[in-house]
Amino acid sequence: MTIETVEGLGKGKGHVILGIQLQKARETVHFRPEEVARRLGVHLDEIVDWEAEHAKPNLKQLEQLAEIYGREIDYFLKETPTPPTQVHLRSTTGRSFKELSEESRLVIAGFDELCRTALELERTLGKIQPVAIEPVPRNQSPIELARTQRDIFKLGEKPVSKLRDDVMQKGVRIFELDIPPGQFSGFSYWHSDYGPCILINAKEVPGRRNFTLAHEYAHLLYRHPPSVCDITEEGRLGPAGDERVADLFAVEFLLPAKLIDEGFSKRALSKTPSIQEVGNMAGRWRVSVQAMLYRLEDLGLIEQGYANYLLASYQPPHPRAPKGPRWERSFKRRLGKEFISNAFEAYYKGDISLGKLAHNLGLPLRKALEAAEHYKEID
Amino acid sequence: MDYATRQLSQYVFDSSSLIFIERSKDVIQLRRRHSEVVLPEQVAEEVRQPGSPLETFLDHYPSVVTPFTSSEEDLYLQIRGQAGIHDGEAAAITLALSRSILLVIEDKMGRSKAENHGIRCLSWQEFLHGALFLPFV
Repeated sequence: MTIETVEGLGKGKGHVILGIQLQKARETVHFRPEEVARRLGVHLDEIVDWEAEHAKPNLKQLEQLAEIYGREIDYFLKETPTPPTQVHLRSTTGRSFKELSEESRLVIAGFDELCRTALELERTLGKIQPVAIEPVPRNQSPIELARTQRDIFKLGEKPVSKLRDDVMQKGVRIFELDIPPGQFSGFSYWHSDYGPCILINAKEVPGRRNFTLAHEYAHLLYRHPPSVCDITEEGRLGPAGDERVADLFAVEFLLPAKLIDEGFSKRALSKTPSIQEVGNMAGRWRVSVQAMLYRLEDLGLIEQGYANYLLASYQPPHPRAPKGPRWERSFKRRLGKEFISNAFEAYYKGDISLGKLAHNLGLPLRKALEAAEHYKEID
Repeated sequence: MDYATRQLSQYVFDSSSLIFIERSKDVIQLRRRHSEVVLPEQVAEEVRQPGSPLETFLDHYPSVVTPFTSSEEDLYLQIRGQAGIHDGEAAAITLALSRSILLVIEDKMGRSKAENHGIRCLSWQEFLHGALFLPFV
């Protein structure tokens, strides 16, 4: 049997490497062709020719491109949905998207890869999660919207406890990835193929991640354009516009004015509570100490300027690692239950290979095999 | 070359079959039969773990790692582009297909793809128990 005689495969079957995919991958991470040529040690014309499909890179070059662009090789071999092209950095620091570090831009490419993989897994298994959130008019008050959403999630007077699970139930794809310090907190967009998607900075403390998630959720509800948000002081309202609206929503959604006021009175706290007292309230409401302090200040429950006074000497805790085996922790929070369960199901059914499972979970092959055996036992 | 005229005493492995061989403490069999072992670079990379028996094997017998020819690169990319398959499995299928070598594969998905391409597949246990004498299709 020769290669040429194998059905569906063979030489001369057209261009396997798609120029458009090479171009999309490069543009997502904002690299100029000159920069890519320099890194690969090739002439600029070669990059242009590859993207125009006048020539093709060899396998080694393709592997290098995959690394530079933060993609899997198969991204270049089949047409995939286009990631958002007009991404804005909604910055409280006045930076532009292009000023984000290369590492951060690669995280965004990685996020796009995860959204693509999630959709592929759902299609393979024939269980595409329907989107159950309705866009709201731009002129709807964020405070009113927050109250409506609390009703939809049946929160009553309780703090938000499983926001990620609740939002994912609505068909939103949520991933938590490590974003380099000082870059951004979250990213969201409503994609024509993937649906609504949110990226959260996994390196931040749980309370802050909750705030970012609520903030990004607001962007999705209002159908704001794709935006990377660097929320530097959650609870402090950003500049007027979409960011301010998302902040107002997040604050009221997570820390409803009425309930915080009542809780503060019940605890009989003074106008200058200790950091521990504020910490206890923050823990109960699952937000960061900063967010709680600013909320208390905005509601006039503590003295003006007291939040910054306390925060000047406050050291935020490091995020605690979730319970469970180390390999499990590494992907559980990053990917979420739904994605993981779909990946294992596809593997058990023989729809994806072990290599693909390992790649999807971000684990070495041996660990992925152990994980698959472990989950099968649990099943 | 087809299966009737192929190199009978060679086997190409996917990563999962090598990991199972390592788990069953049978890497010594790979050492004994190293001249029969063919590994694509992608598989070698996937199974290489510092301090593991497979890494020691690869260090002692680097010649088992077999680079692609240029036409195999093209074939590899065609297989790699198929849904659900990753580097190691696609590379092992490529070498088995282009060189008509028996494929030792444990991965369910990879095996099904390989069999669809008419490749003769064995389990790692069959390899260890001298699968050379199995009938060919």
